Order: sequence, then C-alpha cells, then structure tokens
Amino acid sequence: MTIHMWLLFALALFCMGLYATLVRRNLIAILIGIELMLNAASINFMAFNKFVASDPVVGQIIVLFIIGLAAAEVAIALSIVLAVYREHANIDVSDLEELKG
Amino acid sequence: MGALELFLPEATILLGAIVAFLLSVVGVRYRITWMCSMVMAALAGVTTAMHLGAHGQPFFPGIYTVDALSQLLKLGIVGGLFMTLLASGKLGSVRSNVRVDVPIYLMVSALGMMMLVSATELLTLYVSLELSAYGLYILAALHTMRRQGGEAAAKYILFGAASSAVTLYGISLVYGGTGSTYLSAIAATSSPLELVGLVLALAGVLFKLAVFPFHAWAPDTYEGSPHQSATFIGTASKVAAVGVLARLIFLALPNKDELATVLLILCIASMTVGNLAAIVQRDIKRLLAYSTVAHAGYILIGLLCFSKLGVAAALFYVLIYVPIAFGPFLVVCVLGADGSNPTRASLAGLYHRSPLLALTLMVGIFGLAGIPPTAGFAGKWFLFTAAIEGQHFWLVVIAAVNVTISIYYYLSIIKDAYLTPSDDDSAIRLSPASAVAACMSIAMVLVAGFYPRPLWELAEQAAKVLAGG
Repeated sequence: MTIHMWLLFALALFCMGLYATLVRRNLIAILIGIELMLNAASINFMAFNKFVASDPVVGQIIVLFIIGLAAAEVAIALSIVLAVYREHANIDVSDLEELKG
Repeated sequence: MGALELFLPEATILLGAIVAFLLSVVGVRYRITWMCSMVMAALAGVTTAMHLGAHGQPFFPGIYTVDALSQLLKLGIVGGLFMTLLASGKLGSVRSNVRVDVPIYLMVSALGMMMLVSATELLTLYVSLELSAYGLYILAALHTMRRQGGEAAAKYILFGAASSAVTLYGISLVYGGTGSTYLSAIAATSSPLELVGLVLALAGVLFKLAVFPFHAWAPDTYEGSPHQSATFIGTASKVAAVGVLARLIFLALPNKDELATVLLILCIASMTVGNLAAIVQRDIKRLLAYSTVAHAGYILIGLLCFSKLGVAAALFYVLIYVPIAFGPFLVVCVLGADGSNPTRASLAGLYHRSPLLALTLMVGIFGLAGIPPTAGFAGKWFLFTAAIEGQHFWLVVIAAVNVTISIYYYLSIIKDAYLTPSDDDSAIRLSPASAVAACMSIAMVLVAGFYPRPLWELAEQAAKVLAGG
C-alpha cells in the first residue's frame, strides 16, 4: 500500500469521527466519535513514520502515548457520563439544557 | 544551572499535589489540606519569581525549554493558582465529601499548564495540554447541584476531547509535513501540509482560550461548575493557552499572512459575539464567561500582528487579566458561598454590605472595561498600539466599538453593586484569606495600571524569544 492509501483511510476515519461527534445525540456515541478521530491521528502518525520520517521510532512512541492518553480521557469522560445518567436517567445530549442564559 | 534548579517551580507544584493527595488519603480536615496547598503554591510562586530570568533546557534537549517566555507565563499561572486557593477557604459550592480533592486537581492542572508553556516538542505539548485539561474536567463536575454540575462537566469534556482530537490530527499532519516533532525544526521548514496541520492544531488551544467558534462550552461550564473551578478556568488556563498559542502560530512565520487572516476573522467574531451575548446575561458567572470570550478576541489582536510589539502586548494583557478577572470571580465565590449562583440582582446593596468586596468588584470590572488608571487600560493601549503599527486600522476601530459596547454592561454591574438599594442589609463577613485575596487583586490591578513599565519590559523580553530582535 502507498502512503496515499493510508492517509485517505485516516482522513475518512477522521471525518466519520467528526460527523459522529457533531450529529449523534448520545453521549457514548459522541465519545466513540472522538475515539475514531484519535485513531485517525494514530494511523497518520504510523503512515508518516513508515514512509516519510527520518527517525522511525518517533511515530510509534507518539502512538503509544496517544493510546494511554485516550484511555485516561475516556475514563474521566465515562465517569462524568455516569454522573449525568444518575441524575437524568438517560444520556441524551438534548436533555442537557438546564444551563441557559 | 542544574536541571533540578530550572525545574524547581514545576517540581514544587508537583510536590504540592503529592502532599495534598497524601493528606486526602490520610483523611485530615479540608482546612489543613487547604493551608498546605497554599504554602506550596506560595513557595512555587517565590521560586518562579527567582527563576524569572532563567533559561536553559533542564532535560531532553529541545523538548523542554525554560526561557523568558515560559518563566513569565509560569508566574501568571502560579499567581492564578495561589489566588484561586486563597478564595477556596470555604468551598460552599463543592460537595462536602470531595472538597479535600479540589487542591489536588487544581495543582495537577497547574502543573500541566506550566509544562505546556515550556513544551517545545509536539508530543510534550500534547501531553501537557491533556494533563492540564483532565484536572479541570473533574473540577467542573463537583458542584453541589449535581444536575447542573454533571451537565457542565459533560459539555466541557465533550468539547475539550473533540477539540484535542482535532489538535492531535493537526499535529500528525505537521509531523508528516516536516518529518520532525521539534518546534525548532518545524519552524525552519515550510510546506502546505504543515500549514493545514497547524491550523487544525490550533483548535485545542483556541478551545482553552474560549475563542469563537470554540466558545460554546464556556457559559454553561462556568455556570454549572463550582465557583472556584470557574475562577481557575477563567484565569490561569487563559495564561497557558496564550503562551502555547504564541509558540504555535510563530511556527508558521513564512505563511503568516494566511494564518493572520484566519486569526483576524476569529478575533472579530470573538469580540463581537462575546460582548453582545454578555449584555443580556443575568447570571454573573455566565456574564463573566461571555466577557472571557470577548477578551480572548482582544488578545488575538496582539498575536495576529506577528510582531514583537504584538506578542509583548498579548502577554502583558493576559498576565494582568489574571488579577483583573479574579476580582469579579472572588465576589462570586463570596456571595455564592452557600452554593447558589449569584445573579445581577444579588449584587444589589453590595456597597453597604461589604465595602471592600464592592471595591474589588469595581476595580476588576474597570480593569475588564479598560478604564484608566487600571491595568486594563494599559493592556488595551499596548494591544491597539501594536495593531496600528501592524497596519490593522479597521481592527482597532472594530475593537474600540466593542470596548464601548462592553462598557455598557460592565458599568451596569457597578450600578447594581453601588446604587441599587437592597432589602437585605446584613453585612458580609469576609474571611481573612478572602480579604487578602481582594487586597492583592486590587493592588495588582492598580499598581500595574499606574506603573506598567516593569511588567511591560518583562513581556518584551519574553516576546524576543519568538519574534527576535
């Protein structure tokens, strides 16, 4: 596979994630969209790492960091989603409308 | 200087976070944890001030840089942390079983911000950005009113995580375009892919600064999070965001015209949207959130000039913004000590109930509005001077119109506090820590207003790191 294939694949993944983040109303679905965007970035890093970069380990190290950070972020996000669920009994974004000017 | 000596301010904050964590595990009273955290924050402030002129690379050459820019911004971050802690004596808006955790998250987040302004490598930058954000996400969720707290935190983390994912995708394109993650190497090359990546990478930083269109979280998060969390998000995190924004946009110096156009649009939109939306707000924290959006726009004026004068003006503005914005937030913390959110109506009669608090509010609001002799006037003066020197005459006109709009709602707050009579004339008792915080905020705003030269010279030195000469 050429680098273009990988980059297009990552771009498609990123757009799907962004689309899910913008249109889905379910908090978990939005989180999955964010994960897709992070994974698209990871694939980009690996592709550039294989085909472009002079130092072949940098991309791999970055991807390892991304995996760790994404796990930490999701842990916090899920705990907040759980807190929302306890109060609202659902996790629909449309229900989060108490804070208004 | 040795590696540890250069890292001393961050190390002190890290130690403070560990101490606060251990104290919370042991189960001591909140008051003791609070006092220990304040001592550590004060120590960090002293070490930062002592290392103001330090420069070097404590470890991993090229990855973590201590220079005039990072040290000046660290002073602002530690100052914001210390003042937030001063206002945290009674955490009435935080659930009682998690109060003891607040100093930990404040300090971890401050550590992330301090590393963020020193990061000169993309991965370090991203990790610090996330570290500074995680603590804030949790801090936003701790309100006694669980429904609002959960909603505030959910909106904050979803916007934050999405924009940081866009940032990461942008960083991957920068890496692909330049083949390096070191900012020094990236600045030396220029490619279309790099420019696209940089614009995407700005998303996460503009989110932190609450620039339009990344501002949607700010009003809801400020309103639904505990007062002290909102104070910290509204002061210290802006300093870190401006620092990293300045570093990132100067990577695109060969393509600065394109980037300046993007920033110009965001700048005008932020000022206008922030000021117009603030006029109709009743809740003080919501009003302050929209005023933050407007001030993010003012700061962008300095950055989009791509000149030494412009960067120095932006740095000066964000540093004085910490004590200026802290004043109104302190009033919110004191008035809302029972966990409620103060509205415009609850400011009535403040002058009779607590003259010191009313004065803090007035000095802070005058600073935000840019009325002399407060530091806000000096800051706006520098920004507009830089914009005129950069041939942005129309931008100055638009900004001046915006300042005029903002004076309307700022002064009506002063009117509420000083002239509107109230049925409740009971005096408000300020705790010693809050009184100290109030005096510090007033003193800093007035001193920097009457005598801006020392801070301006520090800002100019810091700007030299990026803009040279």
